[in-house]
Amino acid sequence: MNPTPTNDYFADIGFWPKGTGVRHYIIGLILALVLTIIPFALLEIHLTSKHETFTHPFLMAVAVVCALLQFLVQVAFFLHLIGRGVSRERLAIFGGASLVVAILVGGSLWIMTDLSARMIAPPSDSQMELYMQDQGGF
Amino acid sequence: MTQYKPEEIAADSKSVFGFFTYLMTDLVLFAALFATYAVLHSGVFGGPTSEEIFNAPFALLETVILLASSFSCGLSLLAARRGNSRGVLASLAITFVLGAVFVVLELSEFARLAASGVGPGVSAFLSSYFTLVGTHGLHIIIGLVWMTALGISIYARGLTRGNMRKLALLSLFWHFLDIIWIFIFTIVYLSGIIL
Repeated sequence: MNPTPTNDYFADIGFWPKGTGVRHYIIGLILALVLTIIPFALLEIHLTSKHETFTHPFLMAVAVVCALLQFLVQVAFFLHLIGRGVSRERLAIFGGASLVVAILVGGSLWIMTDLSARMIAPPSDSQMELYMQDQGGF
Repeated sequence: MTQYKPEEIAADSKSVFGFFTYLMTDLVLFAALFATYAVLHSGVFGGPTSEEIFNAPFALLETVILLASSFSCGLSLLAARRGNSRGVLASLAITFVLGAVFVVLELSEFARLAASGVGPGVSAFLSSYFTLVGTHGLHIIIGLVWMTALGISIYARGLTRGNMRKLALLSLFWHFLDIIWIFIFTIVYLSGIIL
């Protein structure tokens, strides 16, 4: 990677950007903690107020957005996928894997929710139900 | 600090890439388990729902402990760069203890559920829950074994090039598991209580 090795072995092998220090990890830790506490605190407020403070879609949206933001924070500050001098190949394979994950999770949910929507139980006044009530079974 | 030859640096750079490729295949494994969980979440089959069995403060405690261990794992790399092997061993020991506490908490939750008759055989929801969270826990246990072996090696041989490389790979593994846990915390525990 680097033709002239420096005193920073991890920067030389393209593991983290040059100049990475404890400041980097502290910022990552604080941001991750904040993004964990926000959805948790909102949920606790919601539960103590007997489900009246927020709507469920709002809570879900906050939880998902915070998780995605924290994901980006950890990818940048802990996994060191982004930054000057960091190996680009890792970011490329990460992009490819993310695509597979999106297709796998999104596709499964799409197909399976569509499938269950088509499999609604027959209404209770269906001919079969009426026949069964009338005859005491088949 | 030792200066390494450019070809040694290039070889270690490839190791990091190769290990990262393995982590991405592991990511696909977890994606499949997450998709399974999301699909089977409502399949309770008369058993308890996610809202009845999950405890948000307990999941938060597990999250904070794992995040703290991720941070101390990062500190071990910073100590390794300074050539401070005692600092590396100390921060790896802290990481190990926090990781072990996490595993104990997770196992105690599994034991609590199993003791109240809520095992993986009760419903599709519980099968997928135990598989997803259990697979993550198994990875953490493997990480703890690896950390112990690397700690012994660093204690015996010091911060050799091989140990430096393994420390970088271990930190990738450990941070990766923390990232997977964020999604378990959000998708399994938080949304399991919200929905």
